[in-house]
Amino acid sequence: MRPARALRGGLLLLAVVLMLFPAVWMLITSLKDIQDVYAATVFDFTPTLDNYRDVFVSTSAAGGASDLVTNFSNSVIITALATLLATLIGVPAAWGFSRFDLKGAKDQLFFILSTRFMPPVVVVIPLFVMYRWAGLYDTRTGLVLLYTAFNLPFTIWMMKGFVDEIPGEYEDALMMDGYSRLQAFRQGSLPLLVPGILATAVFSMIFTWNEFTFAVFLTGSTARTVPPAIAGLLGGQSTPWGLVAAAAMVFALPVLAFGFLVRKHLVAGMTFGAVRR
Amino acid sequence: MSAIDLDAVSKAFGDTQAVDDLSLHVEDGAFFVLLGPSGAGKTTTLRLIAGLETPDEGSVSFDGQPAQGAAPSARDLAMVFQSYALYPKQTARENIASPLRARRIDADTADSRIREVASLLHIDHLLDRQPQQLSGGEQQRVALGRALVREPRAFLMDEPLTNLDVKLRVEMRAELTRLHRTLGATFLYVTNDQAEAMSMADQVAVIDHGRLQQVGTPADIYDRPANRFVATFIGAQRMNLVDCTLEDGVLRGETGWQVPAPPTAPAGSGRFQLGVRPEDMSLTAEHGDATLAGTVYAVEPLGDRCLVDVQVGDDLVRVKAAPDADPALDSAVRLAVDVDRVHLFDHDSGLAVRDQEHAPVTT
Ligand SMILES: Nc1ncnc2c1ncn2[C@@H]1O[C@H](COP(=O)(O)OP(=O)(O)OP(=O)(O)O)[C@@H](O)[C@H]1O
Ligand SMILES: [Mg+2]
Repeated sequence: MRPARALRGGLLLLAVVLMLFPAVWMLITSLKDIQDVYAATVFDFTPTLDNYRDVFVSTSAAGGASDLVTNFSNSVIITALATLLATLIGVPAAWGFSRFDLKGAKDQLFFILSTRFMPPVVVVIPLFVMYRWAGLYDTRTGLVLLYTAFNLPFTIWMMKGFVDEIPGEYEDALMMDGYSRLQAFRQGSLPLLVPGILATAVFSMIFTWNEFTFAVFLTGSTARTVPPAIAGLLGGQSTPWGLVAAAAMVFALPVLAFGFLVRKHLVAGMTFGAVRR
Repeated sequence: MSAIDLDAVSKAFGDTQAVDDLSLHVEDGAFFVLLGPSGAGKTTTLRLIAGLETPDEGSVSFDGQPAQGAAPSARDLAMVFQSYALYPKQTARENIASPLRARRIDADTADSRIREVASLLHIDHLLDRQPQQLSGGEQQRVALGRALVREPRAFLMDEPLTNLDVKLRVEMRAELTRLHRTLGATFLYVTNDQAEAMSMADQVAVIDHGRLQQVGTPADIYDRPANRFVATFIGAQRMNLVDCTLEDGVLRGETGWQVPAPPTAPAGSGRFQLGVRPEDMSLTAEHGDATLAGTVYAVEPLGDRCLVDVQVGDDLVRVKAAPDADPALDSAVRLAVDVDRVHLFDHDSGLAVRDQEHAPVTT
């Protein structure tokens, strides 16, 4: 009994260490000044919050907000808009595919999904040329459009699954009661779809927030989001590892916090099919 | 209040022909029952009338006005769904109030309507519960309530009493027929229970495989079934069918029995099936005209009567006997047939040859 429990505890500890090691390493590095980063010891250092200050405040003589602040606000705005738009367009589309007998619905759905078959690096060069031409290069609008289009297939497919699970007869009954088709959707299905919509939106959000390839090719300085910006810190003569680590920590935080807050809905959304109809 | 007409309506789902060239005329104010076995296309027919499905061919009209393209909400019908379709996040009261809310009926009027309907259906005490807190029969009554709370031009009811216990079902049948008389509204009522159809309907339409088999009053359908399907589907006890040949005005069975042909039988000869309901035969000791000989296969006492299965050649013939009749198993008995109440069906087509006025519909 005892040894078994000890063994289990030991294994769990090992798993925790293995999984958290990169995060902890980042956290520790973000608290070190540059000498300590290059020092031979790992834990023997004086913690400092200078790196976190440098994430937000410019180190130049003039002071003011740092470039990373711009990157962060770009990331937040672009992610929020792209997720919102993909959800606003994708949910009604999924409802349409689920409820109506559309000619060639299967082919359309396959086509929609097929837009995701191409790896970003393959399409990014032609996109770059098109964006230059259309004046969308290095604009937030450009990235919002792109990410919305990229999130849509996923949103439509996932939401179609959720709509399929809800009997269409709720909407039928509401129409018999005297409501229009759209009112019937709003009253009959939408309330039951909320967990599914949240779950889908979280996935869109995580994808958009983390996206790197398009962002690095299609933005310069104005609309640059955080992932390419952090990568950009690495290139110079000396890499400010402390700053990189601090920026990464700040970058990871919103997604973690959001995921934690909606975790109940996420689980409810993902196990939706298991509940009785 | 309104008449409903279906004109050659067809609807297929993929390879399944759910409704096939169906024409019906539902009189204004009628209690019209659609009767058929599972999968006959009853629900599909109701949904076509409601506008929830679009016919592939044919048209639906109300009072002679084609309804083509009219939204379900514009048709002014109330429907009880076979699956109830109660809104899961609303209480029974809110469910019943839904049609009134959609029409912005003021709260006081709505409240008194809901109370009336709830007491009619004995669900007053359940109004604040959500559907998942109700039993199947209670849910079904809430679904009925949602339809009855309003006075539409017609009520469409899809097997609305199936989940009730016998006592409640009989009571609700009476309430519905009473309501029909007082409201004078058109009721289109779906059931697969022939007894329910016989006891409630002004007119019954029997359908099978999406096709109309026969339409008429319950008495018409019981006394003059148009074909073998209707004959065997209607009646508490299934009608007996025995192969026979007609010759010189006499029906002859394979085991040698003879029954005089009914007056409606065609001249000439041919292969037929003799149909006799269990209540139109009796056990007898005499060797009279119109008797079949056989041996007792099974006996089922039911209190007020006794059902006896008799083996006649290869066929099992069921007869309704007096409650005290208790023939021994495997004993030889004779069955006296009430010649005035026999039915004759063409052996191959299954069409009744008894009745000339009611031209039968092909199966
Ligand atoms: N949405 C649908 N998709 C495919 N097939 C369907 C659909 N609705 C009905 N059908 C088929 O059409 C036929 C008629 O179905 P319908 O529901 O009208 O029968 P029903 O008479 O109401 O039967 P029950 O008494 O069992 O309710 C059945 O064979 C059924 O499988
Ligand atoms: Mg049905």
